[in-house]
Amino acid sequence: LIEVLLQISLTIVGILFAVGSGYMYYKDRDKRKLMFLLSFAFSSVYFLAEIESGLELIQRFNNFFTWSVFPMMWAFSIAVFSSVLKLKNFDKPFKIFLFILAASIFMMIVPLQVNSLQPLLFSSMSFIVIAVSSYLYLTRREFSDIIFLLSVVCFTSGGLGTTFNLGIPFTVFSFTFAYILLALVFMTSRESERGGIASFFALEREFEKTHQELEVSRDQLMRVEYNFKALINVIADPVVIIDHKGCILEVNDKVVELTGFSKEELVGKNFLQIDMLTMKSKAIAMKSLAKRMLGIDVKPYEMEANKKSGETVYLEVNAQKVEYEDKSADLVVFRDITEQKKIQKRLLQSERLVAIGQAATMVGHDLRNPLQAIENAAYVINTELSNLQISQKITETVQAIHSSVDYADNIVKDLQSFASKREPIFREIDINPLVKETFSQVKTPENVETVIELGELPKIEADKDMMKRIFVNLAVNGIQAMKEKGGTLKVSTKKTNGFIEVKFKDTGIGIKKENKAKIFTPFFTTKAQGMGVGLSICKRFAEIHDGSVKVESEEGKGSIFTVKLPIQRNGGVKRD
Amino acid sequence: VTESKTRILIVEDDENIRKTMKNILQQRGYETDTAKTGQEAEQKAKAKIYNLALLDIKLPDMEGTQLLAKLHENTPKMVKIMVTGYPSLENAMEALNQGANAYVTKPVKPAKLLALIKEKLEEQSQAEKMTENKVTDWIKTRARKLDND
Repeated sequence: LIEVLLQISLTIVGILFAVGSGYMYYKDRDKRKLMFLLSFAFSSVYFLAEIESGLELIQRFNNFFTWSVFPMMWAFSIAVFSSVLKLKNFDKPFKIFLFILAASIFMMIVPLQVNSLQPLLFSSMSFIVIAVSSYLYLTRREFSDIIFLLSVVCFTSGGLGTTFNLGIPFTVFSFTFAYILLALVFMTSRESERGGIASFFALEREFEKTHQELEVSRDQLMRVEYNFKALINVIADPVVIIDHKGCILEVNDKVVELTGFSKEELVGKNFLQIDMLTMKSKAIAMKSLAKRMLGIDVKPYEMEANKKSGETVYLEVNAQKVEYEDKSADLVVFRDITEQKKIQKRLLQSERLVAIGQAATMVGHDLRNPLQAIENAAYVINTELSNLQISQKITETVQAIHSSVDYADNIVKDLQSFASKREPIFREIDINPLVKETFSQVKTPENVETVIELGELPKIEADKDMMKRIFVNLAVNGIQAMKEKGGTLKVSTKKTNGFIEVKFKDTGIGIKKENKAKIFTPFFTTKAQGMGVGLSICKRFAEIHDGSVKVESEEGKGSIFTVKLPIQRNGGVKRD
Repeated sequence: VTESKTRILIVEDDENIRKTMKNILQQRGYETDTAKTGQEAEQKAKAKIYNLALLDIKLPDMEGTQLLAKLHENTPKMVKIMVTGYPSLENAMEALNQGANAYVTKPVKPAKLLALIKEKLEEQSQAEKMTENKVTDWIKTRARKLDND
């Protein structure tokens, strides 16, 4: 009777464990717990088979009792092998378990006489599990491993106890210990952080925890990324993020605004493929990108870029290596320094011009005295010689001195006009006589024909000297353009809508396209002689009168310079 | 009245200009003296009577306009022509205010300068004649009055 009671109590213990793991499964929804729940539930009836006191019912269901313990041993082996193989996904092992379970049920139902096979299978598997568990413990030395091992040993000895009839108490205690130890493993799994068989039971939960944490951090990451993008767009300067190969990952709105390229045209492309940067700038950018990717700090540098419209912009580039979408990237902040550059350039230019002006005044004055002396000397010689019979050579030579002095004098005058800051004196003047006077002053070579066409003009308020300077310079300019091949210099005046126009049309060499923009720049010249201040003076003087000097030219055919002067000056306000 | 030779004083610190200018004027038959500095010019102008002076605007010891003012004070009738390497409106205005009769910029064409000199000298002699005539007229009327009295 005691034996029967012990068997029944063990059955109850088994059922309690099944219920316990059922509760755990309910809490965790872990297939591992489900597996043990099923094996506990199955094996709990096993002990009833030991009650052999002629209970016919039990005899009849011998098959059922024999195979009921089989899934338990499989659960052990699945647990230990999963642990050894560090399987993270329990789906496959669970399927195997279900298969075994189904097989066991099959064996229970089908009245095959293979029950003798069960103890053999059971014990051989037990030893395998014991061996692997021992190996596990020896390699990892985890507390839970040794408990698991002990549990398996107890379970095995319980099983062997029944097979070899070692007595009911032995069997009962073995199984009870096996259950208790297994429960311990379950419990340690709650605290398990790493390794050991316990982590096998804890894995799912940990996974879930990690998964949740991952979700949270992904959320955070997305928020950070969102904030990052928002931040980039808020920055007043253009910002570009490029990866280590130079591929553009992100641009802010300012880049679009500055360059005229759309986001679609930029993002996803390598900056080397885009026409935005000049070749030189690409080289600079590539070099500094490579440096930064190697972790070398690069100081802010300047770069030249082209807008979509073709306009050039100057950028100051400040870049920083960052992590973007898990990759190392380059956060590049540009600053548009075009205006700054222009101002700098202008400042430099005007400083240069001031210096030149000062030098010009000095040089101009210092040249005037020797020029005067040369002129005087030539005059004296000429006068002395005029009373004598002299050769043509000498007359020509003296003449050369005169014209050279004239030429030098013109340069000096130009230089001084250029350097002088003299205020214009506006008086009512007639332009036509002034144009005529100009031609009396300018020497025209024999191969140049001059045509003057004067239209009827109203008197205008202007500085006479400045006007004369404009006309002389333009006339000389035209004549010089025809020096080699000769031609016609046609000067015409006419009244247009609110303006007086004076045109100087020559049939000379013309101006090269690339030089057109530069010809009014001081000290720009294509001539072998002269300093290149003539046209710049014309422009300045015309502008003082609220007028302008424009040029049309075709290389090889000639140029037309048009001076436009308002009939009514309006306090510096241009009238059209 | 004895026809005395026209005398011109050249005040110029540049030796080459001084020499060549002297030659030019002498070729034309003018009696010419030169002065290197303002002081020298002053002394010479006191010692002799000159019909005309060519004054450089920059002299080693004083400004040409300063000399001009002094000469104008002492010899108001002398024709004074400023020759300057610093063409500026201020210079020109000041020169004319200080009693200059003309203002030319270097380098000036000798022929042009000679023409100017001739013109100014003629003006001067005409002015003299005018004064002479006036004096004669005055004496005549005075004599007539005396006769009448």
